[in-house]
Amino acid sequence: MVYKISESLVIANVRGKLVYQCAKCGHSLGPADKSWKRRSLRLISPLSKAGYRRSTSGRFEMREYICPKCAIVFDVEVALPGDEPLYDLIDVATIPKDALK
Amino acid sequence: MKVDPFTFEIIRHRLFRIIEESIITLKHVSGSSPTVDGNDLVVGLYRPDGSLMMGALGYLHVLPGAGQAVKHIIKEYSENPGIFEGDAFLMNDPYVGALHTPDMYVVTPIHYNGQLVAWSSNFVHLRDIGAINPGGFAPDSREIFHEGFCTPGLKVIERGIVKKDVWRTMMNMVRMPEIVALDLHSQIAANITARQRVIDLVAKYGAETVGEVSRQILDISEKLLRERLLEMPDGTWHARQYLDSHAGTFTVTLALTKKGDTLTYDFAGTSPQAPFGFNSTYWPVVGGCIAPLFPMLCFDMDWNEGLLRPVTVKAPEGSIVNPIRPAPVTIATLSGLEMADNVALEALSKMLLASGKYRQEATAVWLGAHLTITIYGYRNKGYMVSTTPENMGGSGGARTFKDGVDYGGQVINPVARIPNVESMETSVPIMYLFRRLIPDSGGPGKYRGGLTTEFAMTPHDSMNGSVNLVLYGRGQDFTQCEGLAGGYPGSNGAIYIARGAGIKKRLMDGGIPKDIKELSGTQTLTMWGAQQLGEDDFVNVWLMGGGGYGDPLERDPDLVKGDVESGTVSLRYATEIYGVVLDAKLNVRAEETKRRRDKMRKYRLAHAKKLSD
Repeated sequence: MVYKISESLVIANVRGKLVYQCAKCGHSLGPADKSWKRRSLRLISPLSKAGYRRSTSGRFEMREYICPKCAIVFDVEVALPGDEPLYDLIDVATIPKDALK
Repeated sequence: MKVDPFTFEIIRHRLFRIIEESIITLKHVSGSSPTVDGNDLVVGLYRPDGSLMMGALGYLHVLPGAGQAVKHIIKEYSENPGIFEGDAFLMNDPYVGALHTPDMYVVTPIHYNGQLVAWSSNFVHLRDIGAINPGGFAPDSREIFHEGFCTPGLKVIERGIVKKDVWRTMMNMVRMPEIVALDLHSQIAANITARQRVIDLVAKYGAETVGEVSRQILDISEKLLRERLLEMPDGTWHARQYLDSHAGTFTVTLALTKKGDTLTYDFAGTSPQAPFGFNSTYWPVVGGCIAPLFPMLCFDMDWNEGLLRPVTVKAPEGSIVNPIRPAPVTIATLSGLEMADNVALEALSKMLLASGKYRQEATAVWLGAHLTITIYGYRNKGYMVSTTPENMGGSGGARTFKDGVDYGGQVINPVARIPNVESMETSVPIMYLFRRLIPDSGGPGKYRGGLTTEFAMTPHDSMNGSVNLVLYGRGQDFTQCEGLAGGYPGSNGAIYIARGAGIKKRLMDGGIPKDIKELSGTQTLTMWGAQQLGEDDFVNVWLMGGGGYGDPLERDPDLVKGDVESGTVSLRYATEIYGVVLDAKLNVRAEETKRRRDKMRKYRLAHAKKLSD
C-alpha cells in the first residue's frame, strides 16, 4: 500500500519503514520524516524552457526536481539563483493508518 | 434557544438570498463597468457584534477586512457620533481593514424596533479616490497620504438623511465625482435593500430566532472546517513568490502548517515593506489566505466568520504583508495582497494533494498578477478615467484531472467577468486594436494551464488626440502563475508602449492590424509610471497564463495533438516541451514520440545534479 502525496510522489510502507517513493518507477527517495527533495536530482534551466513570454531578463531560474531513476518531474520551483529550495514536510504519524497497511 | 430545522434552513437560505438581492440592486444602480460588468464587488451581512454572518461571491479576500470595518465602527463610533437607525458609514482606511483607498466600504446598521439586529456592508472599487495619480492605483505614492480620500469611518447618512457637508466634501476630493457618486449611491441602495429584507425576516421570525440562527451557522461552518481538516495528515507546506519591480525584488514567503483541526499561515521571511505601494496591510492579507481556502476546501459550507476561527495568520510587522503606517499600499491588490493570494493557493494545493480525499481540489495558480493600467483623458471636453478590465478574465490553473480553463477567471473572485471592449471604449477615449488569447501562454504540464489574453489600444476620439496612462505592472521577470506537482509556469506579464507606430495610416489604408509586428515604430517595455499615449502610439498588455500540473512529458500525445489543432500550443512547443512528434497532417507519430520523450528524459538525467553538488 502506498499513500499519494503529490502527482508523482507516494509514501510507502517498506518492511515497516515509511519511505518516499517515485509513484512511476518506485525509486526510493529516503525516509518519510525527511524531505524527499534531498534525494531527488535538480535540473536548472532558464525560464524560457517553459515557453516564450516567460521572463524579460532571465534573472530567475527554473528548477525541476526529478526522479534519479525515471526522470519524471516531481516539482518545479521558479527562484532567484542561490535561494534555498522549499522543503515541505508531512507528519507521517497522522497519515490515516489503514492507508499504509 | 432551540430552532426547529425547517425554520433554521429557511432563515439560512433567506440570508443568502438577501445578499444576492443586494448585489442585484447594487449593479442596477451603478454605472461603473468594473462593478457592473466585472463583479469587482463584495456584499456581506454581519452579526450585531460585526462578525461575518454571510458572505457573498466577489473578491473573497475582502471579507475579513469588511468585518474589521464593522467592528471598528462599533468600537470607535458607538458613543460619538453614535449609531442610529438609518445611518450609513464610509470606511476605506487600509490600516483599519480596507484593501486600498479606492475600495470603499459602505457600512449600514440594521435595526428592528430600535434594536440593532445586523449590519450590511459592501465594497466596490470607486472610479477615482483623489490619489496623486488618477484612478486609484498610484505609482507615485510614497505614503498613505498620497493615496487620496481616506477615512477610518465617516458617517455619511444619519437617520436616513444624507449629510450634505460630508457628501460634498468627498465629491470635492475625487475626479469624476458624478461616477463616484453613482457608485456610492449603488452601495447605499444595496444596503437599503439588505436592511429592508432583514427587517422583513426579523418581523416574521423574531430577532431572537434570527440571531440564534446566525450564531449557529457560524458554529456549524467552524465545526465543518475543523472536521474536514482532521481528515488530512498534518504537515507544513511552503510557497514563495517574487515581486520584480523597478524598485528591486521583493519576496513573499509562506509556510502553511496544518496541525489537527487548525491552519497557521506564517509569512516569516517576507521582504521588508516597500517604498512604493506594493505593500498590503494585515487584514487584506488574512483575506488573501482565506480567499483560496473558501472555494477550494469550504466549497460546501456557508462562508462566514466561523471559518476564520481555526485559522491563524502571522505576518511580520514592517513587512510587505504587514507594513507600518504611513507606508504606501495603493497597489496592494495587484502586488503584496495578490502575492499572498497566490502563495496561499500554492501551499493549500500542496496540502490538498497530500490529503487523499480532497486532492482533486488542488490547482496550479490562476491569474498570478492583475496587469491593469489606468487610462484617462478628455472626450468632448468631458474628463474620463478608467482601469482596464482584462485582468478580470484571468486564466485557469491546471488541475489534477483537467486542463485549466482558457481565460477562465480567478479563484479569489469566482464570479469575476470581463466586459466587452465596447464598455471600455465608452469609458475612456481609446479604441482597441485587438483583444485575443495568447498561444502557448498556459503553463505546460500533464494538464496544461489555461491560456490568457493580450490586448492593444490606441487613443481614439480624444479631445487633443492623446490619452494618459498610469502604469503599475509587475511580473515581467517572474511569472506569478507557477505550476503544481511538476507543472511548468504560465506566461509572464508585460506592458509595451509603441511610439510612432503608424496606426492611423494603417487604419485608413487597410483596416485593423492582426499583429503588432505589422506596425512600425519603437516598442519599449514600460511597466511603471505616468505616460502619455499619442494618436499614433499604442499600448500592448500581456497577462499571465495559468500554471501547469504534472510533468509535461506525461501529457497524453492526443491531447497535445488537439492543442496544436486548436492553436492553443504551437507545433514548436509540442515537440520541444511535450516531446510529441506530429506529421504534416498533425497525426501523432507514436514511435518517434516515444523516442523523443526517452531522449528528453535522458537529457534530464545527464544534466541534473544532487542538491549537495
